[in-house]
Amino acid sequence: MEPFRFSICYADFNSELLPVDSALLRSNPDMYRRAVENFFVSRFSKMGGKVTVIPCEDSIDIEWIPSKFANDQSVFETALEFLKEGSYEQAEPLLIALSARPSCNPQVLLNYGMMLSDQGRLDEAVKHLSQAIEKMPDAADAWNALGVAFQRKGNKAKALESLRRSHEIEPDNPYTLRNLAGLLGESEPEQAIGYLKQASKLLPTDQPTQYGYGLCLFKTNRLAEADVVLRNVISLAPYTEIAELARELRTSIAHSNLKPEAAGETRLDSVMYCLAAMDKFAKDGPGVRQSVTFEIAMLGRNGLDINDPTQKYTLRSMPGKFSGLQLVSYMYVGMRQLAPEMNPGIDLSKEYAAAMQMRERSS
Amino acid sequence: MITATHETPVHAIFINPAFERCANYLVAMQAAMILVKWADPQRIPDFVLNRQETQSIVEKFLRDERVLRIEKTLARPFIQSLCQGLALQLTSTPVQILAADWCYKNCPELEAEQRTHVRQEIRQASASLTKEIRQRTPEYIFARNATMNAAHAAWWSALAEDTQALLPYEFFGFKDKGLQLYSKAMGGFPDNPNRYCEVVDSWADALDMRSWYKWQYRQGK
Repeated sequence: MEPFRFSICYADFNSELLPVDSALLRSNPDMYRRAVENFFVSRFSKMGGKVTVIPCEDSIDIEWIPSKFANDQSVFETALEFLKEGSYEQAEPLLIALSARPSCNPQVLLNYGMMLSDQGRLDEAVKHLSQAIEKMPDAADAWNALGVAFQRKGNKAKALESLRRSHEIEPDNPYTLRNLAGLLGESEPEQAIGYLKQASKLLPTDQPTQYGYGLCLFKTNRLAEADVVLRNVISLAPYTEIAELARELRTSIAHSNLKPEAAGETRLDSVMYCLAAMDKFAKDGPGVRQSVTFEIAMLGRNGLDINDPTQKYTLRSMPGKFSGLQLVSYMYVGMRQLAPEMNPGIDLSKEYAAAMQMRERSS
Repeated sequence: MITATHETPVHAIFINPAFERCANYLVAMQAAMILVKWADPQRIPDFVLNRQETQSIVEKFLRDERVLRIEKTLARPFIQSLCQGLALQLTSTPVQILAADWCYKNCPELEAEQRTHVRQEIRQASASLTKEIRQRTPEYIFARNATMNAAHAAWWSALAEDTQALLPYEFFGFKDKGLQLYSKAMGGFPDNPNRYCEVVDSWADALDMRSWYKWQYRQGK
């Protein structure tokens, strides 16, 4: 296999690839230079073969003669594996070596550009993605990635131009649809909803796409539709950051649904549930209070329908069947007593205060 | 992570959503740390600071020339927090190494997440070698902190052949002491249930911190 030969300026090296604080490295040029040299030697040695590093004044020349790879494509596939698992420090040296080839595969430039964009190295990302597009001008993915990089740079006009080009080439590219919608969300929400609806059909299990659709429905006040989509977002992967955002939105929806019904007044049904919870917790003690509150909080992570009065929920820690509002009221009381500093996710403060008053009067 | 007590009879592991990318590894790691600390459920060790001793150490450091430059009202809380931090590091770094080593060898599917997370930990720890921190930290504390960080970096460097991890400690003269601590931490787990306390004690001996704490044992039931 033909050796890889390339040079890299010390100043251009991404010090985030090293397990050493960037400020510490910058304050010690000798250590920095050694760390960069050491990085390439160790990375390529691990890949097998012979590595030669020649330090110059401002840059280093690197030659790697691989012993374990049959061709450039197999090196690229290994780099893709590293990218997939998020090991940028293992992927990047391979991508640097591959992109230095005069006959570089444009897919290398595209993937390298996308990685740089994800890392926030946006000027480098735009450079590599533009080179990829020069070599494959009809690649929708490349235009899409360039659009994202421009969007991250804050250049909305160029982002829109790139994403629209991607959409022209491949109207059903779900990622382009999603990104276009993200860009248009604030200024043209109706058009954004159309793109997101299409993207969500094409990517039914993609949590970010589904969340984007739910968020857009929420922002355009289509609350019932938004709630259905957001419930699906949570069920796709319940323990992700996006699922948490979806829960917060569902709470806001529940809240806004709850208020109009009560017309700004205290909800009597919730007051009675709070009162019942106070009585139960006082009678059964802190152990029951803790387990009931904890179980409802866990159940609530998948969403409790507080606008449906049907008693359709059951708990292991408390016998019987309960409505969503009933459980939320019990949880509210439990959390106010156990951890008042925590946000229960819904404001039943008026109902809680009313229940407290009733209880004081009766005693 | 909150480990179980009589009042709350469950272990609870919390993951900050910001670390979602490494969440599987972090759960495995925290669970492994519980296994290390609770290796003998009849004899759970609690690391308890020796108040009298640490108080006298604080008083000593308040006379350190680097600390004398700090405003008087801030100096005491600053030194107290440094001492507490160093004690916490003494009790947590060995268990971290034992648990992470176990994860690396037993959960190969988590290697990529572990690599990302550990490299980030090592990067953050190396920031304590900067000139600014050294100038305002008593040498005793600075050196012990750096040596324990070097031990952690030495463990990772040896395990994952990530040689740059040790480089800053080599530059600042803590590599050899770090390697010595690292060698004291290796082996013994999970066969020896006292391994965690043994490693902490051996590190404390090497760092001249044995008088800082005592062990108290409780039953896990």
